[in-house]
Amino acid sequence: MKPISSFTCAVIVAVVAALAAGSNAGQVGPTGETITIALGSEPTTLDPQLRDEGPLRYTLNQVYESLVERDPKTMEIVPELAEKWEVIDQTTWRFHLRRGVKFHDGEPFNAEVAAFAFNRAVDPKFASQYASYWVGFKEAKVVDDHTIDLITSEPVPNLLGGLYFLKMVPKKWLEANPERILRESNGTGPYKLASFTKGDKMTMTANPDWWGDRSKLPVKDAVFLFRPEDGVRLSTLKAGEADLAQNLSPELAKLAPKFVHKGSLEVFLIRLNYKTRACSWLNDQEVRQALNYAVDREGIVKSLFLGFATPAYGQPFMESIPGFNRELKDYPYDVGKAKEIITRKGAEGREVELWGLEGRWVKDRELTEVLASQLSQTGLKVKPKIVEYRTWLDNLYAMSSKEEAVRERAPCVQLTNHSNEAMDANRTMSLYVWDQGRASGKPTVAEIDDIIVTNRSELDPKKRAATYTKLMQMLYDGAHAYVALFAVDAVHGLSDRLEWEPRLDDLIYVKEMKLKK
Amino acid sequence: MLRGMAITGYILRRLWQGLVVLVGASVIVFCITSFFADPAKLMLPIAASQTEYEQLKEKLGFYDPAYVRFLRFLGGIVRLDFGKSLWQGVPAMQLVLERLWATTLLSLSAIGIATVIGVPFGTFAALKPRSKLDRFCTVSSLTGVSVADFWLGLMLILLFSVHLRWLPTSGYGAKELLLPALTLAARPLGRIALVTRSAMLDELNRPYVTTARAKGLFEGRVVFYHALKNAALTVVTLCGYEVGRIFAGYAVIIETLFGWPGIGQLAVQSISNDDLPVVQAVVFVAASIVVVLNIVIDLCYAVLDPRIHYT
Repeated sequence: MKPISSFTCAVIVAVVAALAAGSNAGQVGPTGETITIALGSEPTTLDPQLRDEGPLRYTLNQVYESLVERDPKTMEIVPELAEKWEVIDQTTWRFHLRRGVKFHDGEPFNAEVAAFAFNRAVDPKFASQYASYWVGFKEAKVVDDHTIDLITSEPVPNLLGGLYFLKMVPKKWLEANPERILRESNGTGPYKLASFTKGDKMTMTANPDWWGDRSKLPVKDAVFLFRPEDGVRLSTLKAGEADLAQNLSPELAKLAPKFVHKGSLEVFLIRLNYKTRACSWLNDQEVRQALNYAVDREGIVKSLFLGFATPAYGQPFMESIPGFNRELKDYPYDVGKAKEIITRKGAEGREVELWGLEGRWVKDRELTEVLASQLSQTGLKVKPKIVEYRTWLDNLYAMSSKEEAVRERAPCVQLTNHSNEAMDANRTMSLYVWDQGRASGKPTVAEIDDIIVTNRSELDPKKRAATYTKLMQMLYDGAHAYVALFAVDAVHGLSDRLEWEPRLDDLIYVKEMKLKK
Repeated sequence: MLRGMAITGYILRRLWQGLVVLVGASVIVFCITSFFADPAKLMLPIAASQTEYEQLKEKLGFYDPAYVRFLRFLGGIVRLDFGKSLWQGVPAMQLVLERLWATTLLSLSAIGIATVIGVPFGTFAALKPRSKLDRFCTVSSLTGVSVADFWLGLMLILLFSVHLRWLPTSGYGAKELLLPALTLAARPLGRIALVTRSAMLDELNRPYVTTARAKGLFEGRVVFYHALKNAALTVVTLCGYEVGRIFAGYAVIIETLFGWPGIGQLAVQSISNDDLPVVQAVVFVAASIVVVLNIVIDLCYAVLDPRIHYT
């Protein structure tokens, strides 16, 4: 048997060396008049009023606009298609619309169109997935050519937060053919939809008649690629095909030419259920506090998220939400204290399942496993239980089922990720804390539940926020409803030439991007 | 003439059997998905209320009694109408047909690559059994069969797109076809090479080969025309099987990885969204393709082997 000739060896070595050397040469990135963005998933519809989907917003927010938008730095509500507004009475808000705005096909934007768009979106028969953001939105009435009144069925303090998601769609265009909005787009925004290849990409081109400052638009064309695999998104960056790779895991982000990370609206919580019989052991303030003491938040942030997260200050949302309590700090990490409580309460050795997910949020599986092991340090026997999304969702709501058998199946501790896009504390409270909340495991506590209900109608923003701040302290003291973990950063990879900062509300606007010359 | 009639009869019979298979598969899919699926819950955000959930279920027709839905389904199949996608609002069959060409192109390219490389590979290995070439062929074929397609795809992207910048990373187009087709070809290539090798080993030991060589025919003609033609039956069967496998599932990972807009990607998206009409339409189309493919392969036998009669 002849040994491999030394010549062959040399050739092999040379090829490998050449490949290794060539790896980082010439990492200039994309050039030219197009910005390309690689997203993790694609929109399932082109109707911007129908679905509450991230990908739909990331793409079509270039095409469709709302009456109001949020300032990228402060997240405050600012004018978009409405120039100013005032509250007329408890259930009427008057909006003065911008003049000179046209849809891409030339149809003018006015009060009649705005009212049509509003009424279409909130119609119960339309069954929009945004319905929970538009609770109380009744109808829109035309006052004059550029003024409309939005009527609500009850006082809605966070009307503007919900209106942010209500896109203006054209009246004549839709009335001519209602189905076309599923295949074509016609908005007022700075970019027009040029093509949509499902499963691959979406291309857009600048709108020459946009009402805004067109000189601020960085490029004439924008392309959105749909690449579910984050390794492939990173590759598009490194191969010079994309300027922005959305949502990279912390490890991959470090391999990108440039990366940015910023706090997002996502907060990891352990949802506590102590409503059902099987979980009555948790119906004890000290036991719940023990769970809080047992989690090493700083440690997890450092080792699991590589620093791309922030411990949550003992609350289910962060500073940007009005009502956030600036005095609160998170429960300290104190395993000894936690163990002492559990032993004293006789809960040692109790078997508990921590329900979690895999593949939906960054590091969800690993987080569930780490939490289970940390909670077990108290003497409880906590096992991670990774389930599929559908099962997880069913059990998140199980306590509010009408059937007792279903209710009793609800897990005592369940990992959840809460993203408050409406940027309104009521949304979180009504879901996870209010005793009748769909995902709430907290039994009735009169002081807390009364506050939640009455504050829903408080129209004065300052009073409303102050009440929530007080509520946060009460929830913290009683360790109610949840164990607050951390807020996760959004991590994106950028090409060398792109200058852009992620927004807190996770949206992507090409008009906010800049290219280095 | 008689043979022609026999073949036509055979085709018709196989088509009829195929139809039964298709209807059976569709009914099974319908039953399973109707039992377990709850698209309304998945379509709504977590913070949605119970009323919204019930309203959406009503709108999607989930409160109709089971037999009504079943009859609606059967009636639809007959007209190839699977209803509208719950998620996208456009007819489900239309969605599938839009993406069908992409998967077909990809699978044919993959099998093409696999055959063009695999058959000569296996043949040369068979010509010199236990030689270095043979060992190399066997090892690389086994590697092709065993390697994780997911990993291979990412490695190819890293090599050809990121390091060398010869090819695009992903997407849909002529240049974009190469990497996914190569990745998808790895396993069939390995199998085809191994199967060709053993079939050719068989053939080359037959008496007629010795005769042909003794006659003084060129070695190329002996091996690649006479012997290969006889070994071709096995290879053709395997090719058909591999194309069927791609449609039945292997396309999913590759299409998702490379952003190749085919029915594999559509299948996995519609399953995770509980989009029943699309799931049913995809299963139906994929099953049809496998059925038709099997019939075509069977007919190829008649071309390759005159001894075969269809009764």
